[in-house]
Amino acid sequence: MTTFIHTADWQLGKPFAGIRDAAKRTLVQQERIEALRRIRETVVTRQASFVVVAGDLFDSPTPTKTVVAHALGVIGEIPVPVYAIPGNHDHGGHGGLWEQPFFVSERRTRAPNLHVLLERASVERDDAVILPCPLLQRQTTTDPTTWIRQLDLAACGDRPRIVLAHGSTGTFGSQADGEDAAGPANVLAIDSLPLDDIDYLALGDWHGFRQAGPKAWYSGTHETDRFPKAGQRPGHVACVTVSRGGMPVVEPIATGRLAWVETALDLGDDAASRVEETLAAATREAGFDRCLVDLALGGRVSLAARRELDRVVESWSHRLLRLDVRNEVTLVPSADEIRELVDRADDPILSRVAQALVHQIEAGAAEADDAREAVNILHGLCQQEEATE
Amino acid sequence: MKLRSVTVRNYRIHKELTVAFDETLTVIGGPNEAGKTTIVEAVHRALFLRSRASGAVLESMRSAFHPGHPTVELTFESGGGTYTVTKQFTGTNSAPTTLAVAGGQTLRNDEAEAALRELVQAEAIGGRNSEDKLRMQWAHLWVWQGVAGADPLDRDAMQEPLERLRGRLGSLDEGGVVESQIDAAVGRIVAETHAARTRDTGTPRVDSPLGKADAALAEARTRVATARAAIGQLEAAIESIERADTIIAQCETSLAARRTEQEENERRLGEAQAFEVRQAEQQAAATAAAARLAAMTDADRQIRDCETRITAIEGRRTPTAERLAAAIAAEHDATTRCATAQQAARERQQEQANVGELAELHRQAEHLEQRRSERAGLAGRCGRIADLRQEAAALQKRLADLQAVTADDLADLATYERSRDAAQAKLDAIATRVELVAADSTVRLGGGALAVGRSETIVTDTPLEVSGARLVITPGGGTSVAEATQLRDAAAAALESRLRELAVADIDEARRVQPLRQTLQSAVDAKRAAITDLGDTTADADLAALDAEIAELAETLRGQTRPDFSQPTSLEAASAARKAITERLRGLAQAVATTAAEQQAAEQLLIEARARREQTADEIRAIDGELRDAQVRRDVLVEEHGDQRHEAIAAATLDQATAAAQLAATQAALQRLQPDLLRKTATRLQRAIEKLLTDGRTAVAERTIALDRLRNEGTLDPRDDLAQALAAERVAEAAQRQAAREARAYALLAQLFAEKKAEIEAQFVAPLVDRVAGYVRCLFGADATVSIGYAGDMFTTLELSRPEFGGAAMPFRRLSGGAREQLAAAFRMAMAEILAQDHGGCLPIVFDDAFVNADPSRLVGIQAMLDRAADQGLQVIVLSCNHRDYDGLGAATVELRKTVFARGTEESGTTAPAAENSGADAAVG
Repeated sequence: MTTFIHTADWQLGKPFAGIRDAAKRTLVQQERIEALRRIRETVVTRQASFVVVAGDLFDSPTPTKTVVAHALGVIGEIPVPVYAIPGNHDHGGHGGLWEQPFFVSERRTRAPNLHVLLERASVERDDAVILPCPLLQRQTTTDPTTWIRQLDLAACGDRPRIVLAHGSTGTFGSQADGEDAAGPANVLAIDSLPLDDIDYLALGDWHGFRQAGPKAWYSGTHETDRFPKAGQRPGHVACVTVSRGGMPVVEPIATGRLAWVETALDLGDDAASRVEETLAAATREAGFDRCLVDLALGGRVSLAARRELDRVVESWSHRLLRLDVRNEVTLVPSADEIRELVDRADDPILSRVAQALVHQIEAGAAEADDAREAVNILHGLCQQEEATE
Repeated sequence: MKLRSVTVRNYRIHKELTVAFDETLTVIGGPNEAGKTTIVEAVHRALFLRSRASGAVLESMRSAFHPGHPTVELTFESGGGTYTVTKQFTGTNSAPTTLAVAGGQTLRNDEAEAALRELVQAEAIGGRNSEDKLRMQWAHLWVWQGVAGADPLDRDAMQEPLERLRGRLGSLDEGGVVESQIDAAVGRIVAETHAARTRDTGTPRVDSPLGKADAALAEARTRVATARAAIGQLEAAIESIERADTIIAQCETSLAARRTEQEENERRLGEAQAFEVRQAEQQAAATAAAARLAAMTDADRQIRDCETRITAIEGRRTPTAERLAAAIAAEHDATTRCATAQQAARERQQEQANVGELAELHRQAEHLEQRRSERAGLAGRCGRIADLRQEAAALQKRLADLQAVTADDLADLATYERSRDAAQAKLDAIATRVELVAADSTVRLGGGALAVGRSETIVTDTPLEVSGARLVITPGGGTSVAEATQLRDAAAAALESRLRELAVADIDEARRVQPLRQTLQSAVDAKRAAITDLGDTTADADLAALDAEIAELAETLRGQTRPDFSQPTSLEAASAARKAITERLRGLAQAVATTAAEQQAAEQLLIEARARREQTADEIRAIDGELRDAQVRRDVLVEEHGDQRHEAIAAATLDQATAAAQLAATQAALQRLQPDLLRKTATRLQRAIEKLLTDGRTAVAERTIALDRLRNEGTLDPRDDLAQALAAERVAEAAQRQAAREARAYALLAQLFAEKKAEIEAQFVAPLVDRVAGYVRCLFGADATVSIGYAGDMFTTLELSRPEFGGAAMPFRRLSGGAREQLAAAFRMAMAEILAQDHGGCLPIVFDDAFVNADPSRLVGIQAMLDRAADQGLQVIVLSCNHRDYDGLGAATVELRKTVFARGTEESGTTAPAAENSGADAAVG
């Protein structure tokens, strides 16, 4: 019986360019490295013999030295060997990270327990044999697991055999997250592998914890890095116990702390209060300073409600680590607002202009949006003028 | 308000005149200067000019004909009352003004004026510039002469009534919509914001929110492009490395294949080269065998040729040998005959020589005798020469004794003599001759005695002494006598000098000596010629030589011992003997010639026989030489090739065939190996290998360069940078969309504000437009329209549209003069209609010659227009010189007549009042 930790898709140094505030961006980036410390704790508590990382340690084949230095510092704190393969993000191609002198030197001195497996050759341990399938180019048309099919696995004896690979299994694989286009599909034909001779397939690329076959699991990313798809469970590592010929025992263990929340609201004139309440509820558990929210707003709001809504949204945008607002709210002046603008016997021009705009909005012409904006402006100007009178 | 009547007194031409006005339409006619304008001016001044007004305005009212202050009395209706205002313009502060209300009180002066102001709703005019100010009062209702075509919107002339009109339009029920303060303020903000943000062309200004958003978006896109380019460079480097790796791998694979090919090719090439060496050897052997066989065959043929030739030569030799024997015999015979002939010739020649010697002796003997004869002649000649020499010497002696005067000398002397004689003659001609003819005593001339009968010539002052008397004779001629004397003396001296040179006494002696000398010289010359002819120089020598020859000949003959020779004693004997022997010699010479010819013929025959023999012998030798050569060659060939040569030829033929067969086999094997192709292949493979090596090296170099490019500096992740740039671009796009939406919203608002403002402005002027249109249609038909611009609280434009002009709006100032007058009238009447509402629904409107540019057809429309005005409640008063033009109007007509005044005389009938009723003329005069 061998117990080890299966993790993947750390994607350290991910830009999170969608976060406009540089300080918040740094916080989110730093959280991915902090999460490695929780992996270390898991290793200790579960008495794991080693850690396998199924690709994409880094978000890019050219991470900054700061990211590399921070990452290797924390990896070096893990008290067991860490076996990692390059994935499509940090592929082992030319000019990539793994051959940069800085990385080589830092790894040797600060994280000697990190073994980056750049060759398709088995790694022999007393308690297991690791069969790495590194991605050596940005894109491979050949299945990186092919070499295992030609291998005489009998030589491994009774040690459990662990395949370490990064790619799509056809059903699951990396997906675009809005900031990062999905990389080229590296398809793993895991069904073609001699599954009887293999005891566990530690897979990377799919960011949620997921079983991909009888003995195949995606661990998902250790810290959520995007708004997850429905049912996806990012922010975990897999604690795996294997033995030769037996079925693996796989347990997801949470390591992520950030909450990525997606919410959609259909709003009326109580828009501001609803948004306030919804966001407060959604961020209560993780804390607003650890939440990233995608807010899809729809519905129809009056001019005044819109102004109030804008105020609340602005407040939350500064509180949260990230707030993406997909604002599809339709601005519809209320009957009172329209009256306020149109029923002006003493201001014949203003009244007629407002009537024309209302007419355009009601006609739903192509210019309706511009007319709504114009009404909003006109409303503001009237209030401003009346206030000065 | 309606005018009822006016009475003027002492007002310009009018002493006193009353004109009554119809309630609706009045036409005041009359010729020029009949005072039509004066009437309506008087009405206007009664309404607006203070009675105390003075200065120019007062002066203009005063009459030149009628004393007394100008006075106007105007009766009018207003607000249901009838008023009569009377103003006497005295030019003083106490000028009286009264306003009498019918059936009521009469107000005076200031009270009257104040009440009048209430009624006309206009100020009273007085003080400076009153005339100008007056014209501004009710300017819309009083169309003064000459201003009918002026723009009714002219602010200078019409400010007050237009202002009043604007106020009135605002309060009309039918219009009355005006911009509010908030309208204006919001509209201004919108317009200013829009203008500040957007250019006239519709593009955003650089510093506007949209302009900034556009710029930010462009910058964000540039940043994305830069970030993409940075990644592109990295990816290009990676691609370079991958490409290089592929090339290196391909090169290595290909290189291994090529090297294997090269080894195989080299093995086969070695094989081919071995075959080639063998082929060369076999080729040499085959060539040698063939050469041997050819040599043998050739020798055999040569031997056979030699033998054939020997036989032929031997055939030719036999007849030649026979010819040689015959030639030898002929030569022998000729030799014998030649010897005989030679002997005979020798004998004759000996005889000839002997006789020849004898003949020589006889010739010498004869010669001796001849010389002896010649010597006797020569001795006589020598004696003759000696005689001649003696004669010549004597003559020469005589010649030497004479003076040496030549013919030339004689000629010289004659010349000198002629000179002297000429000088003398000249002297004689000028000198004085003194001749003593007879004398008793001695007469002395010049110291010398003068003989009787003798004459003397004197050339100088010469004393003549006769018997104690002493006379001095002075010759004439002056100095020329002395000069002539001098010339004569010089010529005489020259002659004397020449005579002395020739050693003669005078010229006559010279003339005698010279011929004698000539004769002697001729005789000498003749003697010398004769001596020369006799051989003076050689004669003696010749004689000596002849003597010597004679002695020698005699000696020779004395020594002769031939028996057959005897010396002759005379010349004749010697000659006869010499002739005889010469004859004998001639006969012997003939005999010698005959024998010599015979000998020569025999010798010729011998030469010919010898030549034939030698030629034949040469032929035999040549044939023998040929034969010998042929035999030697045959012998040598036979010796060289032996007796067994036919067997050797057979063996050599076999050898040659064997060698050729071996060579062919080797060649076939070599051909199968295609050595040329193998060599080309070797070159090709070498070239390919070198190219692969070069390609490999190039790829390695490119890979190194690309790897260097990939060396990460590590402070910036280009992919991170791109992600940030893309996010910034998305933000910029959203901001730009919002800014654009806002800009469009402002544009929309600005446009709507402008539209709506124009709309209410149009609505504001609509009552005025409708009324003007009503009048205009009387003139230009039912489809004519009018538009009046109104903006910023002001009437801006007045335009007329007519169907016949295509409906285009014509601005007032671009209309013709007539149309301007008519449109202006329409506008004034419409204006009066609206303003009449403040005056009980009626106002008077005066047209003073206001339609002078109208043609007759347009006059019809004008009358319809005026009638419409009357219908609308206006009181229309028209002044015209041609009041008949307005017959169709059906108006009350007042006709004024022109009156002629004589200064200081009283007018007559000036007070005749006008008919009280409409339709009646007011005759003045």
